[in-house]
Amino acid sequence: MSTERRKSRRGRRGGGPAGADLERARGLHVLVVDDFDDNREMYAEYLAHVGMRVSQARDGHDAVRKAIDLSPDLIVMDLSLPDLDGWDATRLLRADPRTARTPIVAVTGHAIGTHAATARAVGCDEVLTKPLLPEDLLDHIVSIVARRR
Amino acid sequence: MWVVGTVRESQLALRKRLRDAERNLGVTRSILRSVLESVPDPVVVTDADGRVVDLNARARPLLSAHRHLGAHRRRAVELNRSAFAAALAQLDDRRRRELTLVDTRDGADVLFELLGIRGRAEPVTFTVAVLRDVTELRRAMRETEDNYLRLRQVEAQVRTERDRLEQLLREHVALEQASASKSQFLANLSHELRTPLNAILGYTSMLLGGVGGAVATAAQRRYLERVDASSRHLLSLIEDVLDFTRIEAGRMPMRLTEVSLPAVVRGLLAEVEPLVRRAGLTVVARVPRTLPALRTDRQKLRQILLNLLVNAVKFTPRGTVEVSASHIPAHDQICISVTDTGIGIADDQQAHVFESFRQVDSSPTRQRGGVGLGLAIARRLAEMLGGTLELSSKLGEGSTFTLTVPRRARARRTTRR
Repeated sequence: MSTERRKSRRGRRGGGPAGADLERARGLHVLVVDDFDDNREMYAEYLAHVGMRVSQARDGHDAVRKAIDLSPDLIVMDLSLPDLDGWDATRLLRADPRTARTPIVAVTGHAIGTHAATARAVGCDEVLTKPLLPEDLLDHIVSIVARRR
Repeated sequence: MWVVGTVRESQLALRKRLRDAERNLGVTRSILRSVLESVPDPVVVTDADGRVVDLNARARPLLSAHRHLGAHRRRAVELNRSAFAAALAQLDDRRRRELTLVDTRDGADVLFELLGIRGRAEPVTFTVAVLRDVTELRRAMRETEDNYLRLRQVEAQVRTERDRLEQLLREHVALEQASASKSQFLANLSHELRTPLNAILGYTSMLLGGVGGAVATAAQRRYLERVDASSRHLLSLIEDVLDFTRIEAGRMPMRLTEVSLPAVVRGLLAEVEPLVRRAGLTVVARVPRTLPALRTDRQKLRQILLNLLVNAVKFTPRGTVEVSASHIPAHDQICISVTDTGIGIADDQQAHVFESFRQVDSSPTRQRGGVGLGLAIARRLAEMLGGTLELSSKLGEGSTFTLTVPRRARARRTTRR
């Protein structure tokens, strides 16, 4: 019923946005964290397609390790992860001086309840709800990076 | 002479002693009398056989039979005397006994406690009986006893009531837990369904966008667009079912804010504009700028109107969809209508359109999508806003759905049991 939630932000297809902000975002190194391979690889392939360097992690511990070792410019974090979930991983990253200021975009299939609020509370910069088209994720990444400059 | 003289003298002395003794006896008697009369209770002195030999003024109305008393009172005194004698004969080991006597002055029954004190003055024995009026004391004791019993009864009632409340509380907690686990199940279901759908929508969008290479043929593009449209449709169905279940579970909180209806309608028209354009329809909005501001739940109002608009577009092959609004000052209500020139709904079907999982055409070959939850959700949302959602329609001419809501919605509990 709520078309608003479903529609792509600019009604365009997966080609991605253009513009100066996107140009600046192209060289970014992004860590994509998701235990569901199809989704993680989809975002990874898309972000690589628009010119970003992409690393991947499939659980919370892997995410924290890679975030500290690889120092990505931004982290795309699924919240429901095995072993260490996205909230706790974010807490750990925020507590570590090396990753305390790395932008974290949470992506969650949880549309009900307090997931978004708690994710913001532990330090996620933005909380997006699945389904989330890869080009919409790109829009959010571009605008977060633009805001950080 | 000497002897005579002595005898006379001794006679005189004896007389004097007798007089003195008599005087002393009189004094002693009057002291005794004063003592007897000074006792605040009736006092009766009896001989060894229980016959009354003396009594004080307070005992007289009970036991003294003057000749001038009427027959009725004499009879009462007789009864009192025999009750008194009987009680005196049956003193307990504390030499006490309760008895009821009639006060002959007013005929009232008086409850006494008799205390019999035995005395001996050789050669006679006697009993001094003190009668204490214990009517008030006994009444107070009885009242205390009654109060105590009542207290016990109230206590028992309170216990029963407490047990009942505890039972209710237990049931309430069980219901809450059931409701919470239902919500948890819904949250999980929603999450599980969205995860694969996310990949379907995302990869389709990437293919259509040429990520990984251009789509080769027009047919392939058309097929991908069908996949895309169908997955979006699937998503909207999932969301409808979740919305509906959330409403049913009372898990949809009210958020009241000041709402500008013209702004809401403008936003909605912009949202359905692509749909309207594709359908080749005209949409007209008649929302007066002078309409007073609403206080309601904006998201719910939007959801209702969006559903009505999308429905109107879906079921109108050609013509116009009109949104109009007015204020009804008499009830301080806002009335919003969505009117179309569509296929309309037959009279016998109109009552069913608001039912869950119901579409007018429920045959497998029906042309319009949806699980049939939209209007059921819309009506429940309208009720949550304190309003109504009504339909008037004519087959082949079109339909009008009218939402009537209070201009100032009131917060209320949304939990259903």
